[in-house]
Amino acid sequence: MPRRGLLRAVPAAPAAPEELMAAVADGDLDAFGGLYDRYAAAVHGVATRVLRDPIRAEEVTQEVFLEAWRGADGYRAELGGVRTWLVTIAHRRAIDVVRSVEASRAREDRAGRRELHEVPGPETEVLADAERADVRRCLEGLTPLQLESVRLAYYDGLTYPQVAARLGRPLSTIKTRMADGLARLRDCMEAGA
Amino acid sequence: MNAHDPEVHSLLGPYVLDALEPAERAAFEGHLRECPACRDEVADLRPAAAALADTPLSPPPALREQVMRLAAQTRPVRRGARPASRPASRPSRRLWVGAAAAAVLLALGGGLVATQRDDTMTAADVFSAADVHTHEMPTKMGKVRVGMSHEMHVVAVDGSAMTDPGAGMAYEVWWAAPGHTESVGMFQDDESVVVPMGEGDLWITMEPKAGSATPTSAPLLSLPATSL
Repeated sequence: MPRRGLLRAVPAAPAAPEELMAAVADGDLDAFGGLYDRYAAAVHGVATRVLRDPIRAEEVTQEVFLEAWRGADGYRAELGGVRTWLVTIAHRRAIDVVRSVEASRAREDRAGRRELHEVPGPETEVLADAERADVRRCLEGLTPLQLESVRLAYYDGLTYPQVAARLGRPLSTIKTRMADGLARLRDCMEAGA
Repeated sequence: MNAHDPEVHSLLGPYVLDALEPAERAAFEGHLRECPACRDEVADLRPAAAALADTPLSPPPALREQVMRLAAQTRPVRRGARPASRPASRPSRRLWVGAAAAAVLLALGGGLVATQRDDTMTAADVFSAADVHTHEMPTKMGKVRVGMSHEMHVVAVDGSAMTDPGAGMAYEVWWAAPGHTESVGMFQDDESVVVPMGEGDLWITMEPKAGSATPTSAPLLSLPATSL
């Protein structure tokens, strides 16, 4: 038998994410606190990256977790990991906020903002943003057009027609580059795992 | 647009990146409902998109209190459960809408990770995770195997190939960041341990079995979190 009894009490092994979600679905607030502690930085990170506004990012982070609390019973582990689930919800919400804010801006204001957006972010920015070494390495493996298409959509919240206009490429090309860029990223990450 | 329209299917990449206008998003989700293979494709690409979001940033501590307070005022929705005759507190419409949106994402999510029904994760679970990154590192006490699953947000440390640290001694695992070193687990030479993912460097030191509050010996291993 392991000699655990002799060891000083250290934090218990973390519950499996699926178990945490099941407890949250049962209305266990402590489990919900555990879920928050584990994933708040991931959720807040993506919200901040997309919104570039700490207050709005906090609002989105709060909504995502309350949504997870209310909707935990619908989580199905076989449909995906908890982090991916939360980050997916957070990204979509952040993008929706970006678009509704932009849509509500005055016309001239929007024009000014578009000019600001015209300044292309250097590719190194996205590479440096990816904290994990494997993600950075895999992003380097994308073609420049794949990288730019994915970056403008995911980080800047542009729709694919906006990306196509920005890059001066046909819609069909951009749609394809987004899909094959993601597929290449996935293949690279799976190969490195 | 017809569900089997190749035009609709070409929206897959933009959909996963949230790069569709609402009307096209709705059309594509309609397509997904009728196309299990497309749901699989979406599920397959989602982790790659979610990996792009890997810029963790802790929200201010006050937000946790606020979220917990709001959560305490509402209860999780049981899908498929009959509505209670009268809910104790009527949740705001916004929350109901949120739950519905989450359910849609869930329904359309597609498959990714095998389920784990144990109460806690074992090191074996982590080493067999779909997204595990495993490192075999030499130390002066023998080889240690370290596995990190980003999805599970944990690190497993396997000491089964390490030598006996000696009477009264054990191995202690730490997250060491500038100005802050935190003990996260202990193990014996024939054991493994699962610890939460942290920031800074993952350290393993030899300590008395009772454990130490701060490391009392030089790390046998120091691995930056970013290299895991």
